[in-house]
Amino acid sequence: MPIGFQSVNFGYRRRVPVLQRFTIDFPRGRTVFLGPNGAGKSTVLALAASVLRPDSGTVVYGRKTTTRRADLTAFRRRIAWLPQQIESVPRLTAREQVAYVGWLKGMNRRDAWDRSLGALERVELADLAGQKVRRMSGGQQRRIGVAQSLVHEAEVLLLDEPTAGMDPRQRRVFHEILSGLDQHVVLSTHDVADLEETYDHVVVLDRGAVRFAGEVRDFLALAPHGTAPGRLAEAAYYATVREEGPVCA
Amino acid sequence: MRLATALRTTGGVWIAPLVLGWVWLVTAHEASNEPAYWAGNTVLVGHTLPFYAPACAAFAAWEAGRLRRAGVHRLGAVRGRYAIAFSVLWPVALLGVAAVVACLITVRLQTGVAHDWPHPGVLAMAGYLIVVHTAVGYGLGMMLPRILATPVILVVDYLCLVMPVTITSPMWLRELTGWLDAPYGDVTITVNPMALVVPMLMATGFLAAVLVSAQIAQWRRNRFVRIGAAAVASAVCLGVFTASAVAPVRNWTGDPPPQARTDAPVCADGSPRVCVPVEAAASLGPLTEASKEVVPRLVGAGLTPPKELAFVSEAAHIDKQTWRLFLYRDMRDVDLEASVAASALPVIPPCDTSTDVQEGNMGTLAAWLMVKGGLDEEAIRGQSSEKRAADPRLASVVRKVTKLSPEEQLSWYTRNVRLLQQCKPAPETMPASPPVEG
Repeated sequence: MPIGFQSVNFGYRRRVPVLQRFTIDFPRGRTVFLGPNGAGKSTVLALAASVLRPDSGTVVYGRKTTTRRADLTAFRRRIAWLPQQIESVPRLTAREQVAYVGWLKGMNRRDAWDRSLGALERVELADLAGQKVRRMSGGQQRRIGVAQSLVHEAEVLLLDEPTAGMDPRQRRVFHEILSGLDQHVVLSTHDVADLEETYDHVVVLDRGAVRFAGEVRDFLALAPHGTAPGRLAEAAYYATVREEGPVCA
Repeated sequence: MRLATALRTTGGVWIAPLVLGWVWLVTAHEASNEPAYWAGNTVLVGHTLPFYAPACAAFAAWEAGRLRRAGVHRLGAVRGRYAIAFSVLWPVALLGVAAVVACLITVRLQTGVAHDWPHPGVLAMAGYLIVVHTAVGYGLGMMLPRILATPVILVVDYLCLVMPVTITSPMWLRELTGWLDAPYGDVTITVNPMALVVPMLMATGFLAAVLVSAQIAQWRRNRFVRIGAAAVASAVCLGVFTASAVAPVRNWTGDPPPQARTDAPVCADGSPRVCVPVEAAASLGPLTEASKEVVPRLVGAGLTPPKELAFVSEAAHIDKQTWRLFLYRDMRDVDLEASVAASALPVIPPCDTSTDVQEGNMGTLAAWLMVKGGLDEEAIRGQSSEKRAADPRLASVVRKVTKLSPEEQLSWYTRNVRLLQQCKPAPETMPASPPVEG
């Protein structure tokens, strides 16, 4: 399993836990992470990216854990992370920003610079490589963020709402990119369109607890009988988050 | 980030001309009348510290703000915190180095070719203080919003460097900052090493506080616990290093005690031998001629002939058969003769000056020596640099003494030298008080 949580407890404030004894193994392939706002999806992804440290419990990838200092560097090299809030270093161009993140992720400067243009090409921003990131639209900045997560060829991509702010055409391009990736992907989104075509697995989180974890077809089967084919994912989602206890396949 | 990117995007590009311009302006003004002597003139690197160190600190705070704004530390970086900091701070250090180099170049252009090299201790101190000011600025920039951190550190840092020099109690406070104000231009002394070590000790306290606070910021604890722990740890670091820095300088009363040069002087053999620092070598010939005129007259007045005349600092240890010269630039022949004559006077220690009542005047003794050396009263009145001999009120005392027999004059001289050296009253050297009217 690429990324696993073992009895993780975490809270931003001492008496307000977000996750309690949280345990899950994100399977290989492309996993979509669903849940209402405030469910804890961004927290789980940030913990998986080792940006946050659990209060207790462990986050593992292979034999590496985020709680052991000695493992942290190797762990982070293999994980790409796109946070929900995309920021850039002031005054950097698109290519410089992507290359800088590549360097942060352990690439040497030359390799990071050479690969940055390829990463921008994949998100169709190569023609804006020389433009300052701060002058770009929100959707374009989001794509810069995606390029940042692609530049260092990590084994696992953790993407927190990567399509937020993108127009339908950009979302389609993003899904095409996603389909062509070799890496394992865990992606949180509110966009459930094309679920079956794009993803292999679904995890639904609600109030810090897993309501569903399984394959896409098993998730879609949760939709009430008679649901229109185009609304299966949405119906299954609402069926899941209204459940009192976890529903796992 | 790449070199080209760092240089293109760094704030130093627009701040550098301002900083370097100020450094050049101040250095050019201060160095304009000084001899070409690096051991003294390198001090200007410390003297201009308030112009580039706060700029480095503010610039570092700005760069920290850029990284904070970009959320760099929330990207799960493989690079360590210090590597990330260095990636944006090396242009800051470059600015500091450029300021030091600008200062040195300006000194060189103003004073010409010197016989020695820039003082490595001063350069080391300046380099270390640049690093510490940068680290403190970066630390503050990581804590506060960029728009606040930059001006705050700029102003506070500048005030911390310049205010201590205006404070007279305690005097040692001015020694902690590295803002060197030692008397440069005096070619008989070099920089007191303690004046360099003490600011570095003080700065280390700040650096330790920043590093410890950075470690505490990583704790998984309540924010108030972290802030409290960082405050206590910083106070301990600052307290320990401040105490270490103050200890060696707590008795200093202004400028650091002079440190005599130890390199070999240039000398003219003869009787007496005349030795001066290499920077004053041009005066060796005229000085030797003057000594041939003056010394025999003083010996004729009963003084023990010297083996050597030396232009050295009062901090230098010399034997009893060496007379200590005092030279300055553009001396005429009569000035050289006066200097040779006055050099026969041994060092009179500074006695208690807690009262306004003066109980002895070494200027009278120096004036008598000049008279015995062959100078007339008009020439003596022009010697404002020579141990207060130029005071016109002393002429009447000297005239009275020179009417005594040679033995009585010599006895008067040796008696009053001894009294002044022992800080006892020497009324025979005092000019008569003007009569009180009414």
